[in-house]
Amino acid sequence: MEIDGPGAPSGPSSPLGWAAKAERAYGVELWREKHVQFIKAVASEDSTQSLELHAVQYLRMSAVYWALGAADLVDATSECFDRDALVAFIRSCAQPDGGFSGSPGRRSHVLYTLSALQILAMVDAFAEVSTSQGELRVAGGAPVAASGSPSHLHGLAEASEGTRFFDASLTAAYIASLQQPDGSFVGDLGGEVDTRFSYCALTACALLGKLDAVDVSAACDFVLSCQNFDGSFGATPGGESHGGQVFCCLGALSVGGRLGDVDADLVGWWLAERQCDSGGLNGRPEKQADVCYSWWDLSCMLMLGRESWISRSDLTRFILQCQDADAGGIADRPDDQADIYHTFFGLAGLAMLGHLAATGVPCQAISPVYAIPQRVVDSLGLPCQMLPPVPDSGEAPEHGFIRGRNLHDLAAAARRDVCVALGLAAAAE
Amino acid sequence: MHGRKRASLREQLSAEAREEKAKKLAIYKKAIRVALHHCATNNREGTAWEVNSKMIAMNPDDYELWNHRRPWYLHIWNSSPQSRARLLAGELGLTQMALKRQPKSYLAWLHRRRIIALAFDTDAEAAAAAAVASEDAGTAAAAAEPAAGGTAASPDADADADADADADAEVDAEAAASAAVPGAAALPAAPAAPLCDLSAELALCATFLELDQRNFHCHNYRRWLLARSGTPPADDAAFCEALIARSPSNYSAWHQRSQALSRLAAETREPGTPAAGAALGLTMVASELELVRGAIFTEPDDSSPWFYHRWLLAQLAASLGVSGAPVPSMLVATAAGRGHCPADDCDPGLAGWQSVRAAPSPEALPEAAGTETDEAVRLLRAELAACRELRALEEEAGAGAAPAHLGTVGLGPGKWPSLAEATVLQLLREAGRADDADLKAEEAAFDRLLAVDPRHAAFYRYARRKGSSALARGLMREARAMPAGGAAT
Repeated sequence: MEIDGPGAPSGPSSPLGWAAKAERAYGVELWREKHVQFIKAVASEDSTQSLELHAVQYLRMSAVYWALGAADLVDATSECFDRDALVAFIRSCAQPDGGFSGSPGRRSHVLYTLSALQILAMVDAFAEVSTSQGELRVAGGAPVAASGSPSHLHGLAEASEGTRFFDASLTAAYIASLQQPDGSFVGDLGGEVDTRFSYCALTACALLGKLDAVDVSAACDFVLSCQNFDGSFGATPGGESHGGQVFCCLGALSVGGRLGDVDADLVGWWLAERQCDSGGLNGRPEKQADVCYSWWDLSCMLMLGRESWISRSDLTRFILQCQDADAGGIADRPDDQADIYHTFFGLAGLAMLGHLAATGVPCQAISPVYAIPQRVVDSLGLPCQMLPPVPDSGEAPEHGFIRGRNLHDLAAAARRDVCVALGLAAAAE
Repeated sequence: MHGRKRASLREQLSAEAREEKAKKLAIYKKAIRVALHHCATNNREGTAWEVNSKMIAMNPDDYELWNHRRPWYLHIWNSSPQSRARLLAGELGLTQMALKRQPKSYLAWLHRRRIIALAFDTDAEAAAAAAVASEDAGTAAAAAEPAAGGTAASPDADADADADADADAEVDAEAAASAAVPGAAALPAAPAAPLCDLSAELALCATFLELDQRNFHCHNYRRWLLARSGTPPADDAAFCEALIARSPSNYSAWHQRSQALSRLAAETREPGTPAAGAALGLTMVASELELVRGAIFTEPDDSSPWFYHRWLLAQLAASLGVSGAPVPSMLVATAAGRGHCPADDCDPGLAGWQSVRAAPSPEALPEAAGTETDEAVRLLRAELAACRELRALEEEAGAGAAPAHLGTVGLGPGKWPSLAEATVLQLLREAGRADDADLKAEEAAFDRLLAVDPRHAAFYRYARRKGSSALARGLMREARAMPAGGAAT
């Protein structure tokens, strides 16, 4: 099959041509402009002006990350966000212990610490806002003890000068203080243990370039102890396998250099069986499909090189059907209310399926491991393991590890999906 | 925002409804502002406790509210033993209210576990509590116990009262009342015995699981209770069997049964003997295959029992010595007849698999292993027959249905029994126990899978080429010990 290279001349096989073919194959196009408007509205909304948003104010940092992630996927970051305002928001959530809170007036949590670092990495602001080696002192002049007791002081960790408002060493020390003797991590001073926090901790330390601040080996051992009879992973040892936890566990092992310890076939098959009649993916056996698993499950399949084990075209169609034709955005299921969480993960699914690149939508590749643009992972040289893709033919994959997937290859696969879907449509007529 | 229909949200609200919404927002904003101010200043006076309780009951996922509460209740627990029974009752009431509102609230489940741990084992938990309380003491503005009964008027009381105006008014009022810790005067001294009954908690879990059999938070909490109470794994296995009998589709129950049986097998294994062959032992595997058979003949299309079935096949693979699981070398020898281990297939995850296969040592083979192999082959043959029978039934039933070859809808008949058949036949071949008819049947099973389940065609091609190790590898051979205490975390 002929696949266009970049810069191919306009014609029946140009991206534009493929957009039309894809629309014919799936019965619906990607409404990029509407999604950009939706993201813009979310980015500028006053989150205190509705009860629903106010009730989730505690996770505002993650909501901002989802919105920024969604904008980046369709290459619309500068259109949707004011960089200075983003940085100012993160600054307002920087805490004296080195962590970041979900919104101003709350305390540090590893979930929001990771979101904050992801945002800073995405807008390339690390160098200008952070310092290292304990130069930074918080308000009052006293340096904060690295693993010190949680302070009840709130608000900013006021920078002594300039725009630098956090210290990478202190942040890494905060994360290290969350690690338990068994290698697991608690999320915050509340003390909840969950493999979600193992992922956050390792990824955040990697973003800081300070993975050695934590015991990576013990962290990976703990993650592996959460493996179940079905090969997949739960939140704690003995916890039922769940697509979201599988992502966290594989992601942590990828960052920690231990992805080879996973039974890729068994996990890959369990993940492949998440595809429902609708074409969408679910998080656990015999549950409903939900667009967000187009991120959680599919990113795992890419990490394991086993995304060809599902019908990619059926998944593509399902995500496209969950778009809101009027207001933009993507919902969990067709005809449901769109929100920024599902918009981000739906677009991420379409990006990993190669659909955005294949149809000529302005877009960026996302890292299935770090959930930030692949360009950032590459430019920061972040540690990362993925397995080479298993060919459709069933031949053995190549040996060793890769760091990510090439946008051109993903687009080529998506165009094959379009042809498959068109062929099936033709056969049905 | 999961499962909310777009159309229902776009309906034009009446002016009245809009006003009502705006009012609720104003109340919530005021109340959460007050509650967060208490958190920020670590205020433990006046109505701070009631405000915190009420806001947690309304929004148990706001982690900052718990951050305020945790050192506070630990301080009370530690410094005022005579208040413990009331404190416990209040916290249990609060978490129950929170979980009624939000059954998947991580933090409400965590809090319940904590308070139960504290009450169940006062000595061990007191140490943990003391640590937190002393850590907290330095920053506590005022470590007073909350005022009695929530009756004290305060500027916040209005907001609190208004917040009750919504549909859950009663729930909130109940929660706030039950979470109130009155003054210590009227209370008896704390008894030395545990303040709570773990079997009552287990019963509560059973009730919760009747409402939602897949709530993994509740299953996690229940698992913790099992470890904490020292419940024998046999009891847990029976509980799971009852759940499965009620609904064979309940994957959470199959998962938990795998945990219970692994633990049971580890307990009954003679100490010091290596875990050779099937981790569960072939007797247990055989009876589990019976259990699965009941489920799959009831609901052949439901995937849940089939994942468990695969796990059992992996146990048999270990008995044959053809699995990639860490099989002791003495058993590998029994698989000498098989001829399918293409080294070029092996991904990094197979490193252990290869080294196991490279170490056959026929002299070391005990006689018992030969018997185990024969028994495993017998069980595999029985599964083969059962799967064929089930497939025939399915094909008969589905004969009139439209072919499902278009990939967008459903499956053709017989996917799951065909997959099991293919795996069993691969195992027999790799163990050198397959005849010509088996080899043909293996090919036919994969051809059928490609036809009835084209979505997973790439996987079937891969598995066909790779052999049984694609699926029939054992995991969780050793039951992992529960964290014995694990209480405070």
